[in-house]
Amino acid sequence: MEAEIRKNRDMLYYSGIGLIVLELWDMLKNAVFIWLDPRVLAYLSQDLEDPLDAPLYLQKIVVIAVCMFLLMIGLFFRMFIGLNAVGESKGKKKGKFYLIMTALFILIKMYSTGREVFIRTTEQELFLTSFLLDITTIFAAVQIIYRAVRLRKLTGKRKPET
Amino acid sequence: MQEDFHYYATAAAALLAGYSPEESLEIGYASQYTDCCSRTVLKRLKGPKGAATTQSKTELADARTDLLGLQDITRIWSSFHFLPGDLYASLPHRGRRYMQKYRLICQPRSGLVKDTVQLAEGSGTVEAGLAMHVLADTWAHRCFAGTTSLVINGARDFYEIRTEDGVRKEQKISFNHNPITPDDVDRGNYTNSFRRDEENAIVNLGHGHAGHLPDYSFMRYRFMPAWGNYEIVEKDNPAEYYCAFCQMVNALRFLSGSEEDFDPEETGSPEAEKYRDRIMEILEKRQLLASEDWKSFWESLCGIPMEDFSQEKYEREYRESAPGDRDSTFLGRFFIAAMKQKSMVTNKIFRSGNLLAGLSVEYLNGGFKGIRDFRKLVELKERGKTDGKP
Amino acid sequence: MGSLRRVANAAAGIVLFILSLLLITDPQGGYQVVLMILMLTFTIYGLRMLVYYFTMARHMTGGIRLLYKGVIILDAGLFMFYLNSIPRLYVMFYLLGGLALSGVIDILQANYARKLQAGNWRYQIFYGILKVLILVPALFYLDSVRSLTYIYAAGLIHTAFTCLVTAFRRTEIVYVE
Repeated sequence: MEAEIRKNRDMLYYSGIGLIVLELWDMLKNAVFIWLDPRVLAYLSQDLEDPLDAPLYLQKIVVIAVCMFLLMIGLFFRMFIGLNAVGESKGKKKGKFYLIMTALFILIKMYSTGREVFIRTTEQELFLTSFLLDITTIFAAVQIIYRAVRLRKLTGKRKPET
Repeated sequence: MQEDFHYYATAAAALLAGYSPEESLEIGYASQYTDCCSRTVLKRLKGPKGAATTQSKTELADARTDLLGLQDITRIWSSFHFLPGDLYASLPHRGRRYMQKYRLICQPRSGLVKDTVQLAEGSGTVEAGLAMHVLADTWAHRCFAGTTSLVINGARDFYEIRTEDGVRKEQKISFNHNPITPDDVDRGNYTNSFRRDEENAIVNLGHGHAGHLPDYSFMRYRFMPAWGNYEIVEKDNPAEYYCAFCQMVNALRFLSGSEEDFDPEETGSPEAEKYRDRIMEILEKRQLLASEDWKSFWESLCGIPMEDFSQEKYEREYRESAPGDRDSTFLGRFFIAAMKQKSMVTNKIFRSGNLLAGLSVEYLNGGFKGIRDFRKLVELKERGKTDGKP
Repeated sequence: MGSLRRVANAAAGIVLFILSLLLITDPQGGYQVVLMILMLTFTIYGLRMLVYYFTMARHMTGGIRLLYKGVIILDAGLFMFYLNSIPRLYVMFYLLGGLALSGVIDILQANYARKLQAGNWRYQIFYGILKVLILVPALFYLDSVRSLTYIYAAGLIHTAFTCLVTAFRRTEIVYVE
């Protein structure tokens, strides 16, 4: 049983770290995709005919701010899950909340991945890399839930050391 | 293991097995020379390169890690320092490539240990010494394989185990990769190989990830081997070194003709038991090398001073002999014994379906194909037949 | 360092040198070749790591980290393919940034080697600093694709030189027998 506990702790640790690193890499890719895509650049560099055209100016600010906000939300969401997984792997007691968040994350991710597969909302070239990363992220999140639940069962069963 | 056990302790075991002091020193010398006989040394002596029993750090740094290079590395290290424990081991859900490496894991008390000792039967002290080196290393190097493999040799989570006031204490060992400063046993600073995530990197050969821990007789520690599915392995070097010592005494008694058989499962020895306390005191003393203590022990057994190990002792004899007479010199016999051992182990590995040590040809059936140096073994065998020897 | 690795280093140095010449003489074509080579290198390395994980490392303690590592590297390789469709100016920023990052890694490794008192840390730090300093002239030519391409080509020549020197240098190995 001790070996089983060590295995689950180890897998939980690496899956937590894996989720964070995968998200950071995904963010970097999104940054290139969003900010350097020619159509986005064309939109952002659109000349304002009237320098005081507040609605278009504000529109741009809002678009950039919303994109950044969504990216940061995604990052904090995954950091929260990942860091809790790492903490639990090191023996800290964690509640159920982060596991519920992980389950929610999996559902959202599966939905967005499914949409990409069947509706192909992403660019052709990006589809493969996006799909690969999404599948791996889902796998890491599933590992976190499975290992955390298993770890709690095993540590609950373990007899106290004499 | 190091010079303290391979030379001094082996010589002491030989004395207890009934050999004379001179013979015991020859056995000890041959045992320790197994850690010296690299291709660089053979080149200097103009000896057969096929007789290499080790590889120096420089040779390893320049070693090829393609298929042929890896086979060469595996042949040397598996034959002399990491004798495989079970060439037919099986595990579920593992691929062929994984199992080939898994089956090379060194374990003591194996059939190959018996084969190694029997190979030296009917020969002299040189052959016996080489066999003792191989036998002793199976205890120190168990759980590691004599091939490059991250998935087998990538051990981690090392903890030193000490008993203070009857209480067991574990302290995590943090390694550094500084090749210059020696290990500091008082502060617990040890060196190991730098980790690389590449299966066939040289740093993943043998017990590199454990540093010198397996070679220190006083060390008690636990770790998680990469192949163990998260099981912990605990090593009690003093106890295991004592088993190695007893097994050497038993093997040497067999080789000297005092015993009819050698049983690798037997790890006790009445001859060694009389000196158990003294031996354990040497083994448990925290020091990098226990040569002086073993030397005192040897001297106390026979009452004469013991000469220290000197690698050059028999090299001059070999260099200055005529080419036709070299095989009968001390080192000439050592080289032949080394080639026999390498040939035997490689053949066993090959016949188990494992190609990691390369191909092995049954020359009686298929004729001679292979490394030129090994032709000498064929000639010796043929000469043995014509002389009426088995 | 094994002989095979020395040959590989020397070959890499020669290839990088040819690439840098290509970039100078034909910036558009050279840039495509650079991206293609980077893409292939990362993709093949990532695939090899994934195959290694599924055949061997999944049975190893902590082997799952190789799965994540392999996926990220493979993804990085496949992503390079996408970079063809964005303006070259920004790709040059990306490539120059990558070169500077590799220089930072060299400096960190050299610092580690310095603590180990390994002999070659001074050379490593020197080469690492040079790679980072490549960004300095780039700052003066942020709006010129051609200039940035030449600066990147100079960076490649420097890296080619480093590979060739490493191929012929005696290396130390930390190995415990």
